[in-house]
Amino acid sequence: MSTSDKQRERWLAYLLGDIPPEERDAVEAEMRQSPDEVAALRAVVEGVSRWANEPVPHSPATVQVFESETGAAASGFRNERPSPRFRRGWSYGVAAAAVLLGLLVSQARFSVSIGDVTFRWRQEVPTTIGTVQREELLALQDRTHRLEEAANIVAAQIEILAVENAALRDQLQTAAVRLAYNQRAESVARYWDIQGLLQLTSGIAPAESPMHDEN
Amino acid sequence: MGAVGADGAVTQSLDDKELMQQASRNGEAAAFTELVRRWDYRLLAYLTKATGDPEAAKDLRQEIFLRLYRYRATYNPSYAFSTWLFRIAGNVLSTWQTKKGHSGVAQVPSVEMVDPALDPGAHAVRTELNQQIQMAISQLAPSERELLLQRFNLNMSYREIAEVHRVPETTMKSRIYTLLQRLRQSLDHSVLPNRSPK
Repeated sequence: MSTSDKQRERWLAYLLGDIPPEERDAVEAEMRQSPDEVAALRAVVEGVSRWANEPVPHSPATVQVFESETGAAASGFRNERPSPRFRRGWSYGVAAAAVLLGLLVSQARFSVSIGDVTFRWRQEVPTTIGTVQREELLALQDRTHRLEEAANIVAAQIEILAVENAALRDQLQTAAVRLAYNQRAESVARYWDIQGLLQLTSGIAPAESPMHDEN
Repeated sequence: MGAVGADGAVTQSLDDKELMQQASRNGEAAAFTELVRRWDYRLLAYLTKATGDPEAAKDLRQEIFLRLYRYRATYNPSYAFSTWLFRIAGNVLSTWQTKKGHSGVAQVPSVEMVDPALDPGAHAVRTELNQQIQMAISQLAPSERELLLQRFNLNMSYREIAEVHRVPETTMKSRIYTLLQRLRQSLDHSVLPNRSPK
């Protein structure tokens, strides 16, 4: 008996337990007609199941690595520390400033030395402050280029810092507003506590709350 | 001993969804670490079999857990945690497959099942059959092996698997049956069990 894909699908459903109980008898009767095909499908289902549940070597390093990563992130949330991005921004800014400063200092020394040095190189180029070697000019160009790059980095960092500064300012404002609301709510609660106490002790009716809106 | 959260609650007593919600709302590392502990091995086994590459599986596992943490705020509690986890796993696997240009041929370790009730001839046939099934599985794409693992290893319902892959349940059921039929068709007739009377 040849078997259609639809039949195979139904038998697979049976083998996987996907056939409702009321239909199982009918499918079983059908399956009895093709024992070879059913045996083959059963072998496939069993083989896939064995493969899927075969143990694999376990390296439990993940948790430790992950704990260190999430620990750092979580402590950042809990303690309201600057975000890693913000800290990174600062460190880039400081590094760029250091590079800039270093280049400026080296450039200054170089400029001074131009006047003092006795040029001994073979290829010399006349300038307004004397003669310099061609290699020296190339080095100067290179340093100027690096200086420009450093300046660009600093400018970009300043922009990032400005954005982050604005975000922090907003957070601060929100926190201040929340604090004010909390303090107001606390004052109202305390006022009514005192009024209640006064009423209990002297029988005087509580006055209008000073926090209450006039209209 | 369960991990203790920042608020003093014992995270071990919570189910996966509650832990994920706790991690999602409070950014609590203890809740998340407990989730990692629970799913670490299952995820590694899943990835090892889906990729056929144990070393890649370790890297992908790390990436999945980190993504899970990074995007914890977007977790939708109306879905099971496993749905969320394996949706991320599917994306990571897909990216890995694209980057590496994997064709889907994986090194799947062969399974040697010794049944003392079988005579040597029958045992040889059984071994050959298993090897053929392993070979056929290794020819599937990682995304196809994923479906089999979700059904046969994680015991996810068709509805859950369908949610992971964002397709209707009936479509998912049909895909799994089709995969099994493909595996069946790839088997050599000489090793198939013969039950019909001669």
